[in-house]
Amino acid sequence: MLFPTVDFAVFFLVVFVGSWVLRPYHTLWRWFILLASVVFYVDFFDAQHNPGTDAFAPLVAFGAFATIAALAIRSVSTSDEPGGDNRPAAVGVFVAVAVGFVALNALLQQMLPDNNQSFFKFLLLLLSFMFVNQAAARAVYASLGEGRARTNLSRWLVRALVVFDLGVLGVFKYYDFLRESLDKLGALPIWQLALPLAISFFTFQALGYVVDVGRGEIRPVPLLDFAVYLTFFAHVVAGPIVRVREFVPQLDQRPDPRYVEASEAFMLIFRGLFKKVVISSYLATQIVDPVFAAPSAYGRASVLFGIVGYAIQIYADFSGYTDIAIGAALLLGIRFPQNFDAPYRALSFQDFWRRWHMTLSRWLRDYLYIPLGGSRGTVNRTYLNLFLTMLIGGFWHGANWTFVIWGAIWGGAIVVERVVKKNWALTHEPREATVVTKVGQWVLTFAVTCVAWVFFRAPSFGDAVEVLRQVVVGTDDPGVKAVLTPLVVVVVVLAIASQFVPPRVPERVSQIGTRMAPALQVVAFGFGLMFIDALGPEGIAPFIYFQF
Amino acid sequence: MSPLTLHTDPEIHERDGWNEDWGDIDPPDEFGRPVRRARAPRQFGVRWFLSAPQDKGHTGTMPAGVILVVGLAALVLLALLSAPATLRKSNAKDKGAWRQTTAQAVATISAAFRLDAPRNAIDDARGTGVSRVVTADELLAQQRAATPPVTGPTVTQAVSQRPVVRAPAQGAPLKLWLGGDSITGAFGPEAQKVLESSGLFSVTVESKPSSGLTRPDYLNWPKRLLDIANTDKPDVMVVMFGANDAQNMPINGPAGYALYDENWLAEYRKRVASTMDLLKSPANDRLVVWVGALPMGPASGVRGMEKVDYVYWSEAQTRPWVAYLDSFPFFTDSSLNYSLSLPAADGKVQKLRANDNIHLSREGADRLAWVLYQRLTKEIDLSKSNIFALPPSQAAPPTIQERVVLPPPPDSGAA
Repeated sequence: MLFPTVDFAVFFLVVFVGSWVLRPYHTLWRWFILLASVVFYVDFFDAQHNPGTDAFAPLVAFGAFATIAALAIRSVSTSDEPGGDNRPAAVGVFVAVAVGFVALNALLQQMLPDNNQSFFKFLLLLLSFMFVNQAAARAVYASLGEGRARTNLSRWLVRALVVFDLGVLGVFKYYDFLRESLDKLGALPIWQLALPLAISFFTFQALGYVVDVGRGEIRPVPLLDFAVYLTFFAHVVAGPIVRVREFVPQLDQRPDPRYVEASEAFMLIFRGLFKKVVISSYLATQIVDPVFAAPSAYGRASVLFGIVGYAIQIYADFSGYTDIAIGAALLLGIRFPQNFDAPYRALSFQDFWRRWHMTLSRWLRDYLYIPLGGSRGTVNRTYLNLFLTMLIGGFWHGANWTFVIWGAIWGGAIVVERVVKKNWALTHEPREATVVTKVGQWVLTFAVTCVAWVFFRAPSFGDAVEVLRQVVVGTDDPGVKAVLTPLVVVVVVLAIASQFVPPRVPERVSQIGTRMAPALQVVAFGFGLMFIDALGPEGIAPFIYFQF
Repeated sequence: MSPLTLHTDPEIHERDGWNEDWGDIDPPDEFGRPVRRARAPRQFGVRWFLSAPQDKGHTGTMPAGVILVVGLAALVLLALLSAPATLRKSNAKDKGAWRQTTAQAVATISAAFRLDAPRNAIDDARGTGVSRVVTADELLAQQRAATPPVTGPTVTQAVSQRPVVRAPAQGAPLKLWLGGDSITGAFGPEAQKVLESSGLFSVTVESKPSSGLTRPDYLNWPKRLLDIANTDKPDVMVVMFGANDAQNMPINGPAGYALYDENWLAEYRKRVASTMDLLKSPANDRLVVWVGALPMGPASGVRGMEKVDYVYWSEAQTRPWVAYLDSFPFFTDSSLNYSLSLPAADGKVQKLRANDNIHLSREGADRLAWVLYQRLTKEIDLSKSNIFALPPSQAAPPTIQERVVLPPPPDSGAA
């Protein structure tokens, strides 16, 4: 289900009422949220996703798996401290549930061919995946030593789980890429595997949970809590990537229904809708799609604005989605971490990654950069770790060499920046940067960001080079079609300028809303939403980050 | 009814590493029950609805009940304000009568109170309102009115003959424009590479996702095509539609024309015919290649492409300036059933479609690009081309050929 739709508005109103009414009831509320998330994920409102009667056998198969897995998981390790006699049982349950997961999903691939029921198949994949990770968390926890110290067994179990989770992700996401890359060997058969919605996001969240348990930082949470965490509708599709330790404690808290943080939530939802429906869609159709489809048909300025337009489009699209997600969760009394902080005002590459997709950056730092050795080794090893983190982060976005190049550009840029800054600090006294220096830093950071986005957007390396070539050697001719209209220039310039607006400004504006009489709020919200709808395209394009 | 379980585990707040700063929460009482704060008496009514709430130290917050009332009322207002657009979108979807009936009822109320005026004004200003869409028929009538009539045998002669497109040479390429729905997003750039590598074409691509001929209120392709024909004056125009056309037509009442019913097919045929007529150049020196819609896979949710293809093919038969390119056999098995993967000319199996079973993969786009090039060699003198043979790793096996005659599909309205 897409956020900017009437279906979601109706769905959310029902969830909003149900959630606040049931919030005092521990278990009932959790089941309600889980059910709502399932409805959201599969979009049962949409008739073409309705599983129909032939979903009975797959449901029975899944039901049998879920019941046995839940009972098996429940049977091990309920003690507060890890270790003890239940280690073999816990490990056995993990292995058995993992084997059961593979068998079940192989069966589902046969029973539910790729058709309109794909979402239903994806849902069963997600739920069965949850059982494996919960069994793993229990087994890892049981295998920890005194004072939750890591043991060889716990390390191996975490490694096994990482291989398993990434294996599942790899089969669905990277199989085609691997097959095509090994094409000359002709070794791999063609499989038709649709990419399950949100697989990257729920894999990352589940992995983080088990790794945190393995580090002794948290205890395994109850299965129902984990199910709500993994499937929660506001973040399941495209983040933000929330940690268990941030999310699950909120399930146990009971926010006061008299003081819902409405001004912040409304501001986020309105801002998100405007960015997604108006800005992102407009730039995509007006300049970005045409320029990237046929760069040679356009002049230098058009292609340049097409590239900058894409930088704005992907920011508006992705940050718009997470704004709506954070706002919707806030209305239910659940706070997500911030995911974007005006990234295009960054003055350095490192600064950019502190502001862009912050929860992914944090995840990569904690679960990739630090396990690689972080900055604990030599200077050169630290640089290598940084580069590898960005490279792998790039590949996570998709099975295409363009994403690898995108990651490599960022990895290289960050390493070079570190080297330059380090050498500069050795020979220069620290002092406040002048305005001219800051402008130079901003231009450099934004330029590299845009060049990297070209590889992110273009379907192939050759296409990306062609786009960049047009900027350098293209004609001054405005092109066969005028895509570079004054309105495009205004939108791009204003979008960049908006990055420099202090956060207190939208905060104060949003508080005006909650100080208005309810009748005025109704008029303001009704007209505001109508303008957003009217200025957007007919039909909503999928969010860019859904594909990841 | 069993008693509901209240959460009473105080330990849960003491788990290490967990952030406790998530709002002001009342701890449970000594019996573990959640504490209910005393509520201030409230008077809900017109006065409350019109007066500003008092800030009691919780800046930026609102009670959940007020949010619900405001949210519901705002959505009702939104529904009334956006009623014309909602009705338009609803009519286009194959969603069942209740949705259209509801949308129609809301639109009637909205119009009665003139609440639809702001939205209509915006839509008209943007050119997205139905009332502002100029149909292909109207465009054709305007074009004919603006063109001085040509009398005598010249007309018959020009219409009965194939278009006269000059033979291109190296350094003097033909201007070729290629556009259509999102299928051309992959096909267009690949065709551009192939055709420009011949040295005989200068190619422009215009791919518009979600577009087609059933929804001119979304994108008025006939008008766009006419603009291109008049301003860019391409020698060859390659168009491709169909993938987004399998939807109801929001015309003539709330139900519109249901997909592929008799009225739908007649209206679609009229639009295709008018669009083809619009693209004919006065001097008959432009070739229009109408690429047939591709077969769609079982997962796509798109059906009936053979019906729209039959319309394209049959209308092209009476218009010599239009060459219909039959794409179907190149993406199906020998029984003309959809195939995800097929062997190329070198015998190696290639995945031709994207995972959505709608769009083309890079290999599929390459294959269609070479099919287009082959077809152009039959229509235009390309003897000066740099291309001497089709690459076996990209082209379809030579045994596959376009069909000369397309059979009328069931219920196609051909009779």
